[in-house]
Amino acid sequence: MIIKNILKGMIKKPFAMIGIISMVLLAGCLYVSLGYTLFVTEDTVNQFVVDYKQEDFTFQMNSSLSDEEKEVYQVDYIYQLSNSDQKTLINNRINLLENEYQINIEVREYKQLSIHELDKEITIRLFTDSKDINLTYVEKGRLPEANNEIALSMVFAENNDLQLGDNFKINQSTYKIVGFIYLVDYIYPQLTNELFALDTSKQALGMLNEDSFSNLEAPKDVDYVGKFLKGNYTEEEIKEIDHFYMVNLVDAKTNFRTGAVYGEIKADRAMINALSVIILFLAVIIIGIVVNKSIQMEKNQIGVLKSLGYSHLRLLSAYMIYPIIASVIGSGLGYLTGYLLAHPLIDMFRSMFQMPMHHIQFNFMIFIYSIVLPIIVLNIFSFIIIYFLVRKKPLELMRVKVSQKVNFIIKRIPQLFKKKSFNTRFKYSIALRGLGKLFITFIGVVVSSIYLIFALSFSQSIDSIIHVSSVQANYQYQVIYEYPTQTEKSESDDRFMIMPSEIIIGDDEVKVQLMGIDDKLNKYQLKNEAGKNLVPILYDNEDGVVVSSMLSTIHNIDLNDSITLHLLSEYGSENEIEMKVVGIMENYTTPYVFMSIKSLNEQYGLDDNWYNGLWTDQKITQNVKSIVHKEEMIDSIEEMMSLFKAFIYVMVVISVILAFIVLIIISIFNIQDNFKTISFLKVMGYKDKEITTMVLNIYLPIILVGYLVSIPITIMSIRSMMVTISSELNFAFPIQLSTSYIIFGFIIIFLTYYLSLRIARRRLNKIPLQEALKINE
Amino acid sequence: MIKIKNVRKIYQTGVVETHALRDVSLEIKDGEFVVVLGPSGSGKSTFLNVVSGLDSVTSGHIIVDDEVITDMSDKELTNFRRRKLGFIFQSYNLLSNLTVYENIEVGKNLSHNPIEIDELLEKIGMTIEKDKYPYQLSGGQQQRVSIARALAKNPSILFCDEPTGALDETTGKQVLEVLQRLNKELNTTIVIVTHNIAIKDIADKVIHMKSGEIYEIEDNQQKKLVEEISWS
Ligand SMILES: Nc1ncnc2c1ncn2[C@@H]1O[C@H](COP(=O)(O)OP(=O)(O)O)[C@@H](O)[C@H]1O
Ligand SMILES: [Mg+2]
Repeated sequence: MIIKNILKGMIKKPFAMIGIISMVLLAGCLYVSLGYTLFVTEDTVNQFVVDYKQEDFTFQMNSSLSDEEKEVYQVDYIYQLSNSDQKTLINNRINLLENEYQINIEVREYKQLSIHELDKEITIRLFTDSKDINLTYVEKGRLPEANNEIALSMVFAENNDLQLGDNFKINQSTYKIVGFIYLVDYIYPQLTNELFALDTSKQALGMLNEDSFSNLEAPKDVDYVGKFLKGNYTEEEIKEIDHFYMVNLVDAKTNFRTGAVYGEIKADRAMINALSVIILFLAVIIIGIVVNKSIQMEKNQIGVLKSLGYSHLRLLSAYMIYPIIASVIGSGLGYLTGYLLAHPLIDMFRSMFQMPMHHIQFNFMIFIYSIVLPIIVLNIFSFIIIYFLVRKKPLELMRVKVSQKVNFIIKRIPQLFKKKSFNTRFKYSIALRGLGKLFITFIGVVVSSIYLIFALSFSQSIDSIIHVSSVQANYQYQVIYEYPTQTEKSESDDRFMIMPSEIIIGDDEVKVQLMGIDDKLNKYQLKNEAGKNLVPILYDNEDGVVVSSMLSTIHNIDLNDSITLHLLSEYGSENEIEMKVVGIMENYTTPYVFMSIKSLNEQYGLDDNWYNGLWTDQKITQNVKSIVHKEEMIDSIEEMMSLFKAFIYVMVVISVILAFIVLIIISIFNIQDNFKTISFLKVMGYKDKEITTMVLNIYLPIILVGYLVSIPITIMSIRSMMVTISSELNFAFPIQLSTSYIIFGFIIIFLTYYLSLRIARRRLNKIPLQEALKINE
Repeated sequence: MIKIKNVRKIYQTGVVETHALRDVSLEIKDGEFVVVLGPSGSGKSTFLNVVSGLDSVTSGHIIVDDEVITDMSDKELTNFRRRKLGFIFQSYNLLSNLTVYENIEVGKNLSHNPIEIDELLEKIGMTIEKDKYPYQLSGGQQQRVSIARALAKNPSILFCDEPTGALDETTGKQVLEVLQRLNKELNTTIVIVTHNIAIKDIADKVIHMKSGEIYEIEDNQQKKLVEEISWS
């Protein structure tokens, strides 16, 4: 009977209920859609990796010969050997390594080139089918058998609308597309170290038969890939593999092209968990307010019922109908919408992490977490809140005007705001009357603002990363030669020596790009965040190095810190040196360590005039190991960042929806609570617009405060998560939030508030004048 | 000057038609103290609502100071009420979070030539209570505050629907006294709707209603003071 009464009230004033349901729905939908996406992605990657025998690690062959080898061949470097000798030597090395570590090693040869096809610049990396490691997954068609047949990566084909049987041109040769494939060692197909971004329509993987592959005119590159014979491995076992023959050994979990997917899954999972919990928490508070309101309204009847002998529990169970209905409908709908949304999301993920994604299958844990858990959480917390609300004594409830009593804060208003206009005091008296509403508004705004500000700050950082990378380079091409040279460079070019190295931080070895540079640079700029040129400082300190802000952020390296450099190269010796950090270069995307070219060359027993790289405007092609066009690099960074921008938009939308739901619920509560007042103000001749300002538009100060409070909270939490975020993303970013972004964010929140007012005002306009004439009970 | 010509009001609830006003015509002069008297359900409130523009008429015309309010839009009506009218109802409708003083300000805020609140507080005899909140006042005190609120904007007409309906005789008479005094001192036209027959003696003009019709208009030559009347 009480339930019937409550239900009727709910149907008559459905807005609060709709609001609560939408919040549970939002939380559920977020959780389920991303949950399924991550679940499918993880499931796929786990199976894909095993079934298609993904490499356990990859490495480069040391091009220096060991002492024993030197004795046999009488040269220092592999490339000084004849082709057949090279082959024998490498085969011997592989056999030796395979026996020593109980591993299987395969040579993963590829040719990479930039082509103009499909009306754009495409970077394509071509392979042949492998035997035991990194097997090819054929999604459609078959692998190439005849010459001039090609299989292309599935995602690339989809994004370019390619069909089986179409022609595909690489340089002068035309290939017929016979299959679409996924490569288990290129889940995240990062095609160059310099370009870490992924434009799936411009980066292709392809497979040719042996003949076509060897006939293709392009520089050949080699990765050595390894796999443990026993089928699995631990981090320790990877660390134990340490041999003179092997340089740049990276395990699959760490390697970006195979391991990026794990970091993404981890980060996303943390995000959805936090977000869903916060939204549920808000829903619980709103349920508390709704129930409290309904109890206030019915307090006489409840008092009578209680005096008749109804127990708390009877009443309480009646009011539990709110959380029960909200959680069941909300999480049910959330599950459904989330399930539907998961399909396009998984497709999005598939173009980022290229794998044959499994179909969505019912997952018991997601079901439990998204349906059962909100139901339990919502109901338990609501139970506690409602318990305290219905606990009041019958007489206390029946005493008239209990609700009209003013709280202590309101009593202060006349003194506090004596000087303020009547309108202001009126507003405060309405606003402060419902402290619960005030609190919800505040929390709602803070939570939304945190997400909003995080998104804005991130967005600004991204802009500045792009800006920095485009400003710092005045060159067209960065060229890296196959081996060091002494040839005279042209006056306007900048030369450098690049050596793959590591810095040692605690027990970890971190891969860095060690760069030796001249003291006079024409094209390249080595500047810190303040725009100061760091070259003079570098040359003033003999044991000084400059590190990029990426390294500095992720590994906590500060100015004047000492770092241990572990020099290792394909060219020679291996030793450790201590250097002091004398500058931090503004570069968020590459792990650079700069030193003077002289001291770097010294470490390798070379004199000053050796170098192996150029920053130039010429498109050099001879003896080049890699060449990167500046535009291409910036494009690639922009592409990468656009991915994060998409993520940012999602965050902005979520925060706006959240703020909107909270604000609209509060506005509607406000109208309900002040129904008679509004009606009477109308009778007296106040215009609807004035009443909106007086009764509804009262939270602006609290919204402003909530927004401002959330700024330091957000910045502090980004700062504390900086290292984690950066290492997940594999780039650092400057924490920035300019005044214009702050204002922009507030405008978004304000517009949301304004929109909620507009909608609430329509309800306000509908309040009849006659309401005021009705007699107070 | 209020002119009411052939006003009808029919409420339509489902298929049922209620003729709340049947062809009512009447004139009320400026500064007059009018009492509308009739049993419950006779159409008094309806009369007050349509005359004050809170509700629309089914047919007929109402002209207040040469303004035809029956032709006005909602917006114009709001503006009209704001300029000209004050209201008092059986329920006091005070805002519980505002002090007595501030509640009166709600009315004063609407006008360009308001009456000073302190002056009004004196007239309703509540200067001492000005910083109290409604819950600290008796019903009669609250009704007096609502009178002050209605008068603060200095309206030319004050409509009162059962202003003493929820009060006992003593406090009810205090409220009427205030109304009588204000009518005299400010020359405000006052229209009181009531079913309490005792009140008719303080009016200039008494309008008797029954079943939605005016069946008698009585001009009261010997107006009494409030203290001279008694409820039964
Ligand atoms: N909003 C309305 N809808 C339908 N009927 C109404 C409405 N308001 C009043 N009535 C009817 O009109 C008649 C007159 O009512 P009312 O003017 O309130 O009388 P009084 O104030 O004299 O008691 C009554 O029969 C009443 O039921
Ligand atoms: Mg009535």
